[in-house]
Amino acid sequence: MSTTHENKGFWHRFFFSLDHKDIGLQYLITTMFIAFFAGIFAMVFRIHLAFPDYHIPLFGIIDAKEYNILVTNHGLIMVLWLSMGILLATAGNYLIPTMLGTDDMAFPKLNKLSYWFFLLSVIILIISFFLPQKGFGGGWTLYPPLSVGDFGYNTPYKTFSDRFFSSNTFVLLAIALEFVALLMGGINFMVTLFNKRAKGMGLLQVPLLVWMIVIASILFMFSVGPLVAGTFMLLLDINAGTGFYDASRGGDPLLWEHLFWFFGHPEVYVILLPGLGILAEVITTNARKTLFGYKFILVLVLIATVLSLMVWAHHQFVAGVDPRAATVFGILTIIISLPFAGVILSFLATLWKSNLRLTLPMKWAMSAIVLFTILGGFTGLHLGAALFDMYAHDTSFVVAHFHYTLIPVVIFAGMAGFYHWFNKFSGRELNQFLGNLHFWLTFIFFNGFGIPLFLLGLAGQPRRYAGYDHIPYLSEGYLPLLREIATISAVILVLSQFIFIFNFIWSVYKGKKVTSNNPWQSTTLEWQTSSPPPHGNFEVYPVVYHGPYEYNRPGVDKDFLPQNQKI
Amino acid sequence: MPGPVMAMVMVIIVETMFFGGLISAYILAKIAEVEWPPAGQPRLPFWLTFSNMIVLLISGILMYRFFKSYKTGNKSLKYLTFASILGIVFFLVQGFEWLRILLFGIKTEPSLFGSFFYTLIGMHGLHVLAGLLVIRYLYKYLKNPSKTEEQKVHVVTAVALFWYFVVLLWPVLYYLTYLV
Ligand code: HEM
Ligand SMILES: [Cu+2]
Repeated sequence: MSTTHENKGFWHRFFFSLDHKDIGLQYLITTMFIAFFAGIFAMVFRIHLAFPDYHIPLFGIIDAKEYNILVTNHGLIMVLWLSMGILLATAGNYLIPTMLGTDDMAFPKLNKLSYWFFLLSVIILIISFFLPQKGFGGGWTLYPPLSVGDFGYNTPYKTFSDRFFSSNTFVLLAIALEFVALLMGGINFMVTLFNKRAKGMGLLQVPLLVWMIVIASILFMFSVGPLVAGTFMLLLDINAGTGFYDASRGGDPLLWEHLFWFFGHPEVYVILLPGLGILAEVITTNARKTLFGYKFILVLVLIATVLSLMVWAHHQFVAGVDPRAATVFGILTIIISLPFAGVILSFLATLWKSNLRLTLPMKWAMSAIVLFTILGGFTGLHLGAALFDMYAHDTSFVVAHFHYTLIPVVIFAGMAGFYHWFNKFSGRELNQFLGNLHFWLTFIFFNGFGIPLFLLGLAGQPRRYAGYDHIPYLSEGYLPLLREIATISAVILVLSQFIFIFNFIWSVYKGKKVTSNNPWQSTTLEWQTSSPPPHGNFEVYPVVYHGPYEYNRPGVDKDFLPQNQKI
Repeated sequence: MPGPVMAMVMVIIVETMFFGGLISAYILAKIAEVEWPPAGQPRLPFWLTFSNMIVLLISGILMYRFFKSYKTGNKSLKYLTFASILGIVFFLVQGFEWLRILLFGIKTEPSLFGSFFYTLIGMHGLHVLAGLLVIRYLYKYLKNPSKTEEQKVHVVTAVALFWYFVVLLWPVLYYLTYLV
C-alpha cells in the first residue's frame, strides 16, 4: 500500500478514486446537492399551507397536485437519501478506516461501485420530475393504490411505455438502486470492522461510532429484504399487470404497509444509531471523560436492534390491525424506548461533573440530546399507545414527532459531527462566527417550526392536506397564527442552512489552515494522523494500546491519552 | 471470518429476507383464497419439475464435493464443471417451462395465483442465472496468477455458499407452488 500523496485531478478525485475518503466526500456532496432541493420543497409547501394566496417566487401559487409532489419528495429525499447518505455513507466511508487505523475499506472497488449506484439512484430520482406526471405525489410511504395508478393526473396510463416512463416507476427504481448502494456499503463497513483493525485494537476498543454504523448497516440488511420484495411486486403491479395490491383482484393494499414498515421502523434506528455514535465521540472529547458504560451501551443497542424488527405495526393502528396484535405492538413499542433511555442516561452520566468544553460541536451535540429526548422520543412513547395514536395519527402531531426525532439526529448530531471533523477532512478551520450563527438560528427556528405543529396536531389538524382554509374549525382562533409561526420559522430554518453551505465552501478554500492535527485533543486514531490524512491514511500504521476514550486518566501528564500511545 | 465469506453470508441474509417477504405475502394471499390454485386453469407439470429439482440438488452436491476437494488442495475443476452443467440444464428446463406456462397457461387474473407463481419462480430463475454468472467469474478468478491460494479458497467458499442457497431455496418454492 502506498502512503505517498496521489496527485489527483478533480475528475479523478470526484469520479474514479478508490480512496475511501474521496468516496466519503463524494457521498457528502451528492447528498447535500439532493437535500438542497428537498429543503426548498419544504419551504415552498410550508408557505402554501400558511399563506395560500402568496405568489411564491419561481413556483407561483401551487395547486394540490404540486403540493403532493413537493411533500412526497421532501419526505423521500430527507429520509432515504439525506439521512442515510450522511450518517451511514459519508460518516462510514470517511471515518471507519481512519478510526480503525487502517488504509482503506476491505473491498475498495465494491465501495466505488456503491457510490456509483447511489449517484445513479439520485439521477433516476431527478429524472422522475421530468416525466409526464412531473414527479411522484403519492406520499413518501408509497401506499398503494396511490403508488400504482395514475390518480389525480391528467395523463392516464394506456401503454406499457406510459407505465414504465412514469414517475411512480422511476421513484421505485431509484429507491431500489439506493438500497443496493447501501447494501454494498454496509457489507464493506462490517467486513472492515471485523477484519481490518489496527494492530492491537480489540473489538471492545473500537470507537463507538464505528460500532453504531456497523450495527445500523446490519439492521438495514436484516430489514430491507421484505421491502425490496414489496417494491418489486409494486413495480410488477404498475408495469406487468399483476394484482398483488389490488383488492378487486384478491390482492391486499395492507400487504404493502406491512412490508414497508417492517423496514420503515428499523430504518429510523438505522438513522438513529450512527447519530448516537457521533454524539458519543463529540461528548467524550468535550467532556474530557471516558464514556460511561461502553459495553452497556452496546448491549442496549443490540437489544433495541432485535426489538425494532417487531414493532412495525404501530404505524398501522388506524389502517387496521387486529386489536390483540395492536396491544402487543404497542407494548413492544413502549419497551423499545427503554434501551434508548439507557443510552441517553449513559451520555448524561458522561457529562455529569465533567470539565465541559462548550465548543461548537458540543452545542450541537447537547441540543441534539435534549431535543431528541424531550420532544422526539417522549412523544413517540405516547404515539406507541394505540389509544392515543388513534387520535393523533395523520395529524401534525405525528409530523412534529418525527421531525423532533429526525432533525436532532440527522441535522443536530450530523452537524455536531461535521463541525467536529471538518478540520480533519479539510485541513482548515470553519469560521466560528458563522458557525455560531448557524447553530442559534437552527436551534431557535427549528423549535419555532416544531412546537406549533404539536399544538396544531392536538387541535386536530390533519397532515397531508394541501391547505386548511375550507375546514372551519382549523381557521378559527389561534390556529392560523400557529401555522404562520411554523411557516415563518421553517422558512428561516431552511434559509439559515445557506449560512452553513457558505461557511463550508468558504472555509474549504479560504479557512485558516489548522495548526495541529489534533485540535480537540482527542484520543481516537483519526486524530493521530495529518489533516487531511494522506492516501493510505497513516505514514506509520498505529498500534493500539487503549480503549477509545482515555481522558483524564490518573498517572498521565496530559488530560488525554491517544489510543496508540504507550503510557 | 474471511472477508469474501462474511460478505456472502450477509448477501444470503438479505436474500433470505427478500424471499421471506415474497413467501409470506404468498402464504397470506393463499389463506385468504377459497380455491387455490384457482379452478379452470391448467395444472402445473409436477413430474418434469420434480426431476428438474433432482438435477439441481445433484448440482448442489457436486458443488460441495468441489469445495471439499479444493480446500484440501486438489485443484481440479472437474466437479465445478459438472455442477455448472447441471445448473445450466436446470435453468433451461425451468426457463422454458416458465415461458410455456406464461404463454399458454395460467393467467394473472382473477386470482393472485398466477402473479405469485411467475414472481416466485421467475425470481428464483434469476438467482440461478446469477449463480451461474458467479461461477463463470470463479473460473476466471481461479486462473488469475496474482491471487494467492488462500484468497482463492475464500472465494470458492463464498461462491459455493451462494450456490447452496440457490439450490436449497428451490425445494421450498417447489413445495409451496407446485405441491400445496
Ligand atoms: C429543513 C427543514 C424542514 C422543514 C421546514 C420541514 C417541513 C416539513 C413539513 C411541514 C412537513 C409536513 C407536511 C404535511 O404533511 O403537511 C414535512 C414532512 C416530512 N418531513 Fe420534513 N422538514 C424539514 C426537514 C426534514 C428532515 C431533515 C427530514 C428527515 C430526515 C424530514 C422528513 C420528513 C418526512 C418523512 C415527512 C413526511 C412526508 C409525508 O408525510 O408525505 N424533514 N416536513
Ligand atoms: Cu415506527
